[in-house]
Amino acid sequence: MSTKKTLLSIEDLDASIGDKNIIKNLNLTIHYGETHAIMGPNGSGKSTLAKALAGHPDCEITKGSIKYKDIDLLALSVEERSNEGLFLGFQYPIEIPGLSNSVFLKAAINAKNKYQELKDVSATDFIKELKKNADMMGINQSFLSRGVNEGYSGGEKKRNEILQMLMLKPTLSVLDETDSGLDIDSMKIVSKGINSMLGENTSSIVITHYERLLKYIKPDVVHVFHNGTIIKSGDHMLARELEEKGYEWLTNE
Amino acid sequence: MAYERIIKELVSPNDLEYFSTINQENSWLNGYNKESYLKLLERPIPSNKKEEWRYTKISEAINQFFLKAKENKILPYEFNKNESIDNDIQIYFYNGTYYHQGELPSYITTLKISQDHPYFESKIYDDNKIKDCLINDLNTILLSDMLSIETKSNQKIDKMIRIINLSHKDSALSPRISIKLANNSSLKVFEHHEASESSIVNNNIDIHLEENSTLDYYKLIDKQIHSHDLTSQKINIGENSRVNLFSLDSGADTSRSNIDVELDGDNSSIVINALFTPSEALYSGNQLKINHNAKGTKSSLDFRGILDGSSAGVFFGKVKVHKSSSQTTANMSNQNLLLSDYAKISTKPILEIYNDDVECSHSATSGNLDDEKIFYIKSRGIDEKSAKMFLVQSFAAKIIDKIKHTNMRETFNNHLLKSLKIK
Repeated sequence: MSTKKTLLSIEDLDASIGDKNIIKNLNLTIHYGETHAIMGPNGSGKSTLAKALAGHPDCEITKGSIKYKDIDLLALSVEERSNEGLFLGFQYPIEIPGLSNSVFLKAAINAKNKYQELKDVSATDFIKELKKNADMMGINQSFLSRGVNEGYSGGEKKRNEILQMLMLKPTLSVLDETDSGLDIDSMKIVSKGINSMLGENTSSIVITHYERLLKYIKPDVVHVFHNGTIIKSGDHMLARELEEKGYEWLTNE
Repeated sequence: MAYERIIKELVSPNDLEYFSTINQENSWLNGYNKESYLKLLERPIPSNKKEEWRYTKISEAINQFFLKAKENKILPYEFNKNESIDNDIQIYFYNGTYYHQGELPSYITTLKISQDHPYFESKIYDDNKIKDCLINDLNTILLSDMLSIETKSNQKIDKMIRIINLSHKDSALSPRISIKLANNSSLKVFEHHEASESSIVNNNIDIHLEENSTLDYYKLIDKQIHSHDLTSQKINIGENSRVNLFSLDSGADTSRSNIDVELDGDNSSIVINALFTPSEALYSGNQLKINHNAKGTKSSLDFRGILDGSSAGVFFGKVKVHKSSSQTTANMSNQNLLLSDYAKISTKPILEIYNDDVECSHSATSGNLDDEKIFYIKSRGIDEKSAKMFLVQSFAAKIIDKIKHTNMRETFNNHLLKSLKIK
């Protein structure tokens, strides 16, 4: 048994959207420093899990508990979860025309600083950090003064999500199909960003359909999601097996 | 046809008697006051059932007008000066009189009834002939001073001319402004109605551009509490001339702006970018009539409403392209953000086109703040109130960002932030 410290512990979780019960009796433990991949067919409830973790208002928790850093995550508001270091990379990042990327990011960082009783970030530190990370994500400087995701291509939106993650330095990143719609070059850039975040004190949940992202990001654990719960867990070899055989051999059992 | 009530029925017998004996001193203006008064009494009361006047408290405004006109107090000359923006020329309208510090440049004149009779009269005469409307009547009945700005040919004026309406409590004011741009000249005007309480202001503004001229016009109406702020603005634009109008209206019991634009010269153009942000139980009404009377004329209207509380807003835009006006471009858009379940908006963009060789569009949308956007912003650690504020600001930024003049953009932005209170 691992002696590593637990970051996230989901116990007997049921979650529904509208009248539909989607997450069913889910149990999942993630330790500090671990990367977990969650794979599974469409409609298996992977995105609902991401929503449940981030506190989306449409997602209602009907049973069970989620402990994060030993606190009751479900008692925290959406913004408190973020300020406690939980980051959700959206499957479909939202466009906010008229709100510039840099203004938005600075407000987010200062909200977190305020929550942790720290001073506002200085303008020079912010710009330095932003430039460094934007360069890593291959995001042009001119994008930063444009509206958040305004008129971005699918790939640009995903890279912008990772840029936000790099700026906010989360403890737990939940990346919901960050690889969908990416060409191979963008996939490499996005993976580089994600890998740069991994360390002893951070963890991530990578939700994906395909094994190809996992060529670049090595998960410690791979879970197969079906009907709102984990039906099989293994190491990264499981992902390869899924790529070869599909999901049917598991879901038909 | 149903019987139409006329304004006379709104006025009490006492007031009728009072106003019939008003202005007995021998002034040349009396004839105009009286004529407008009698004309006003016979006008039908604008019906709320008509889109143009929906949600207005126009009867109340007229009542208030008579009440306040009777008791109009003259207060001592005493008010705080505004900070200068880029060394602007500041002119204050207070107690029915235009004030300024120091000498005015030759292109600006403040006309007074007692001193400038023939010139003043000719202007009123022309004005009243072309403008036949209720707001014009109300303005003329209480007319005192007139502000006239006239450029010479080839005169480019860099300084901003700032006109500040100050209304004191329980006052009725009738500012009248005439702006004329001669050939190949340019001018910047900033009209500011400072916050007031319990007042009624009837603005009458006339703008005329000859050829190859440019006017940038900024209009800011601060929140008017228990007040009515009515404007009738007529703009005639000559060949190759252009008017850029920006406005921000925070609302009043009745804040009503009627803008009539005549694109008279070939290739003349008008661009109007406007925000209206009534809150509480305030009202902001925008009526626009744009006539494309010549070839190659352009109009572009972008109105955005942000409505909170139990406020109401109206957009009524009518763009008419006349038969001879080929190669016309006309775009009209009205988008509204309703921040409360009790806020109301009525919008009607109308195009009337009598020429085939045109490019025209019109659109209107109304909606609430998008929950998915709020969630996205909150998921980055920002609280709900700030998230909503960001979304409202980003909605307004599409108008504010079009102001190229840096200091004016900042001024507008500051006033916008002041007028928005997000719960």
